[in-house]
Amino acid sequence: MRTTNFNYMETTASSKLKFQLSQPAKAATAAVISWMCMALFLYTAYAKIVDHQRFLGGLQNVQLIDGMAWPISFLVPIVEILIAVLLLIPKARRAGFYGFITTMLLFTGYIISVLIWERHVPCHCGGAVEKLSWTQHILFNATFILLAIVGVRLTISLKSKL
Amino acid sequence: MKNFKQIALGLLVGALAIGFSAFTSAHNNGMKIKRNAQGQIISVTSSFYRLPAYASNTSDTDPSHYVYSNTSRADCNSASDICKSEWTTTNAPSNGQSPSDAGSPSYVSDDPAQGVYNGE
Repeated sequence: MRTTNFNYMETTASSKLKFQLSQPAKAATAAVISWMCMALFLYTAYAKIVDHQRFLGGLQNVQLIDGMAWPISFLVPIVEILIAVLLLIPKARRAGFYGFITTMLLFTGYIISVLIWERHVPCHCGGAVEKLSWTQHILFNATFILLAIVGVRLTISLKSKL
Repeated sequence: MKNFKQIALGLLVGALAIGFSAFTSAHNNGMKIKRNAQGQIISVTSSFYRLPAYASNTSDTDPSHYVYSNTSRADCNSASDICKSEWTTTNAPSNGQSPSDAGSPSYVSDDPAQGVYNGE
């Protein structure tokens, strides 16, 4: 009987261990996720800056934000670059993930509200991202938001082990 | 040192992202102009927007269904229709002109961009 209990405990412990990542693996995963998020923001920010007139023109077509189009056209790429810099610096990574999640939630909210209230739905998200359909776009954003949430959890767990 | 390595790798990823963005964002708004040995224009190939009234997802080779626009507000609103097509003409088109206005239009191909012209 005692042997059986011991075996049961061992099985439980080993099954829990299967889902545990080692500290270096956690650190590496967090770094890779942060680079993916950073690359996405740099990719789209660059496209918005290089073709700023087009980005501004697209925002002006949206009645919801027409009056604010000019400041938004500058604010969005600047915020994206700042968040990318935070994600690049290991010590500021968690702040970068929070910024990334907030911004992506805002972008997704914008897409959904434009889909609901606007007759025309232009997207000047930058580069190849704007070739996505609206469903693909929302799924794409949701995937990156989930990845960033995983990144936050990993950075929290790494910090608590130190 | 570990942080330094991570920042260096991150910078590399960032540089790749910007390089890739430059590659994919480089869209050719310009016209392709063919000239003869004397430098005279033989033909001009440029993208014309399909008028929203004729929006569909099949090719349309009627030059009167197209208009040229290079304004910053000209764009294709989200839809699965063919938004633009390339036409070869004898003169460079100006805003508001159809391929016929630019002389001897010849349909080349549909542009991969999907949507419906916003009329700007």
